[in-house]
Amino acid sequence: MTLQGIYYDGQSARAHAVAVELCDGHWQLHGLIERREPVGEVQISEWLGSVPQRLQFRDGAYCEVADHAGLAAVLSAAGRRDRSIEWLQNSRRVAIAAVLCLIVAALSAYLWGLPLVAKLGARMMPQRVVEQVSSTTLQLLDRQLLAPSELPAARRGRIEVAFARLADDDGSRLLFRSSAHIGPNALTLPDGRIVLLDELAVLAEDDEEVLAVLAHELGHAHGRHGLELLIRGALLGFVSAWWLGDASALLAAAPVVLLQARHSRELERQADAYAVGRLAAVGVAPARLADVLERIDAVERERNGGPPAAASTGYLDSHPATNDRIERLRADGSP
Amino acid sequence: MDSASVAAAPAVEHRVAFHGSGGEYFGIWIVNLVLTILTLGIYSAWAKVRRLKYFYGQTELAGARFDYHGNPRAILVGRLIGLLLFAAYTVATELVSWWTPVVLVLLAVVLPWLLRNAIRFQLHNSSYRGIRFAFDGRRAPAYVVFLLHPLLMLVTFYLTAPLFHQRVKRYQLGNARFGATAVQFHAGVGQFYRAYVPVMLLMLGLFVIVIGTIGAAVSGVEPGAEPDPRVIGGAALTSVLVIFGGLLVIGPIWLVRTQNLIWNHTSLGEHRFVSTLRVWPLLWIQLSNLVGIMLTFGLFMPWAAVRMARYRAQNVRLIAAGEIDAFVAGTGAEVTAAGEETAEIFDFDIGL
Repeated sequence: MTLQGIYYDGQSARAHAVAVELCDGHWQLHGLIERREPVGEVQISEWLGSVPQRLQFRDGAYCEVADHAGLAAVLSAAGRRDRSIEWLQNSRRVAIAAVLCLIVAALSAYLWGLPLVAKLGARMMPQRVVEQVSSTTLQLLDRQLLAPSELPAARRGRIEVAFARLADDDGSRLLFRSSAHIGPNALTLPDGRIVLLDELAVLAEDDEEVLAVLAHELGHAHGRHGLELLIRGALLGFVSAWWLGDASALLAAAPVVLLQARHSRELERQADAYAVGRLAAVGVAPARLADVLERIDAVERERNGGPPAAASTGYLDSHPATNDRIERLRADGSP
Repeated sequence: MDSASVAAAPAVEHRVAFHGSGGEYFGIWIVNLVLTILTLGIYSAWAKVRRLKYFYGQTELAGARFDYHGNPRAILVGRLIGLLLFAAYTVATELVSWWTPVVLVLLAVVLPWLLRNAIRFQLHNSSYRGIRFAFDGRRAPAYVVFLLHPLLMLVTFYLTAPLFHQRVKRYQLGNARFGATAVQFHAGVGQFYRAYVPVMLLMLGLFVIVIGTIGAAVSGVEPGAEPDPRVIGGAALTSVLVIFGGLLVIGPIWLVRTQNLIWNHTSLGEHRFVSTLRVWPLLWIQLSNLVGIMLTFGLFMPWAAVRMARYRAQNVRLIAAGEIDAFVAGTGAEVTAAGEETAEIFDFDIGL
């Protein structure tokens, strides 16, 4: 069987039309160029779609063959097989399997791989780095959002004593600040320091409610949730930028925001569970956390003018489905 | 080259054609992707070679295809070095310490050299009709182009961006050759500034709109009063959308104006190029690609890449002042061989 080919000698750009044959273990070119080479001396380029294949000679010359089927027939007649990667690239079934593989890999990486890596990473992060990140964050917050606490010293003292009992000497520390911007809330830094805002202490009916929120924050500190979120954000950002970054940087940022929300809901639930345990140990009813959550939610709603928590679908909100949490806490205290 | 025969021959116009198809490339792309994930990124170097072999091989000029010959191992080494440098840069700038300036100086010394080698690698590994492209750019000018000009751009608020672009292209194309035939690049700095005028004006307009939006939201707040988070948030969202939409339009304008300028002022021996990219078709391709990619969670990407490659290829023509067959390989066998070898050992691609 004879194939049509175009021969380039590697020295000039001139194209030579040739006839190509494979016989007696030799490639033979006939026409304006006569050439005969043993099969072992000639490399055949891989089959990449409809790109013409090449018989590559050792001296830089090559012969282009556009007839893939013909070349494959000539090769198989001579007892030579296609390479596996070519089969992979040209098989429709493999492409479909690859798509399914990709979807399964992406889903399992998101559902199991990401939390696992974030949890391990948060545990293995050197203490020095954690402290530096926390201090930088606190400095930034102090400069832009937080003001010194104006709580009476006596009340602060009472809360500190109760907190020490609650934390059970696990190394957590409590800081007092106020912030009109953030409102009634408490924050946990990655290194476990908890910042209590005056607005929360004022909103709470008594110190037990303050303690309930602090127990929830201790849950975040204990589980190193801040670091976990940080690592998750970085990983999601990296993968998303790699996957969609070619198309658009902004397009790549959107999934990170959406995918983070689900994880932070899960972390809130974990922190609630931890709080229930700690509160029981110091003799505070878990329902007190539910009470104060309800009150915070009411204030938040008024500030934002948004819909009541019950109507929130909670896919974009990082403190969503507050009602769900409240119900859990009230039901039996064991989420 | 025989100059007498060249002078006698009439000018012939050759269109560049791209023969690839999205469906065909999808098969290559998805296998590349899965193997890259399974090997934790190591296969990405081999994937790049397959991708470029496909795109080069489907690009036809005057009846012949281009080819790519990059060695995946060299690309892998280049990627590892790039990753290492990026990690060093990130750590040095995040955890500022006494060694931060040391790392930054080291990067300033290494990066221009790497960029020069990357250009060399790319050209040495590209061929057409069995003849390799090559790059003779020297090391010293690389430091002027890739170190001094970016610094100049920083202190002039990017007003010298057109100058930088011209210098990069002059260095890259002016030192390139196809076999024994040198590439000439003759677009001046003034022409680059002219091409950049609408782009820079649009960027300025975008900047003014964003500053105006945020300024209006902030100035609406009474002194001492708490800003309404909804107003501030709305302004921030508007700004992001304006920047996104603006860049979506400015991107194709920039590409069309600079690509046309560059190709129209590039010649290869007696032959020259004509580029006829237009803004509207390019904008349409980019917008529809973006929508396709969003709707398919990225699976449309191979089709997007092929559409873009096809449009860009179709709009470049070679005006040949004679026989294309007349090109010959490098000036001497020993130069080519030595060039290839250094390209194998010292040159690596860092993904320009």
